[in-house]
Amino acid sequence: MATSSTTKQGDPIGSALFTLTETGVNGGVAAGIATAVNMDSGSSSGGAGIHLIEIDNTGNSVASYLNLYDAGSANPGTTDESFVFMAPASTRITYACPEGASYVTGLTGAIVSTPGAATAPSSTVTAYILVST
Amino acid sequence: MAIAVKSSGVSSPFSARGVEITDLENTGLNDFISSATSVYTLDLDNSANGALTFFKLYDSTGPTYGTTEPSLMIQVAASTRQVWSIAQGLQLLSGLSVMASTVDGPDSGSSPGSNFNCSMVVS
Repeated sequence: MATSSTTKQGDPIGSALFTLTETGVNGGVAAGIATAVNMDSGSSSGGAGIHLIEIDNTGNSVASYLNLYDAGSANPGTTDESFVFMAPASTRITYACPEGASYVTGLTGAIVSTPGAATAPSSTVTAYILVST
Repeated sequence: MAIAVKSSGVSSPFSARGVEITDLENTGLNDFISSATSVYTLDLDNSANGALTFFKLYDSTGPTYGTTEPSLMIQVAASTRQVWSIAQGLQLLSGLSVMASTVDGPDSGSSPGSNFNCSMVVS
C-alpha cells in the first residue's frame, strides 16, 4: 500500500517535496498490489514541473519502478504511465532535470516491481519527488 | 527522414562516450551500444514539435515496440528541451534500446511530427 506526504515550501520558493512510500507485500493491506496516490491535483506552474527524483530501492534485490501519471488518479497495471523511472536492484538512484518536466492535469504516483503491472515490490521503496508548483 | 546515430567512439581509457540520435521515431532503435551499459545523461530535444513526445528506453536488445513496457519513460512537453542527469548511472543489464512516440504507456502510437532528437552519455 502506498502512502505519501508533502512538504511545501510556499512563496517565494514555490516548490514541494513529495515523499511516496510503497510498503510492498511485507506491509501492504492488499497483498502484493501497488496503489497509486495523488500528490498534486493541478498543473505544474510556469512550464516547470518535476526537477528531482530520488528512489531508494536498497531493500530489494530486483529493480523497482516509479510510475508517474499526468492525472488526478490512476490504477497501476491499467492506466498508461506518463513517466517511468527505473531503480536498479539494491540501489538508490537520482534523476535531476533543472529545466523541469511539466505536467498538466495532476501528478499521481505508484511504485511497482514490474513495468506495466500492479505488483508491489517485496520490500519497502521510497521515492522523493521535488517539483515546482 | 530516417533515424540517424552518431557516437563519439571514445571508450578506453574513459569508457564513457556520447551518442547523438537524430529523428528518433516509433520504429525504435535496437541495442545500439551492443552491450550492457549505464546511462548518465539524457538530452531530450522536442523543440521542433508542438505536441507532447514520450521518450521510451528499454533494458532489452530487441523490445517489441508497442507491447514491451519501457524501463524508463519521460514525457517531454511541446516545444521544450529537457536534460536529465543520472549521477549514479542507470545500469542496464541486457541492452539499450529506445523509441519516441506521441502516446504514453507501452503503445507505439505515431512518430513525432518533426525531428525528436536525443543525445546521451553512456559507458
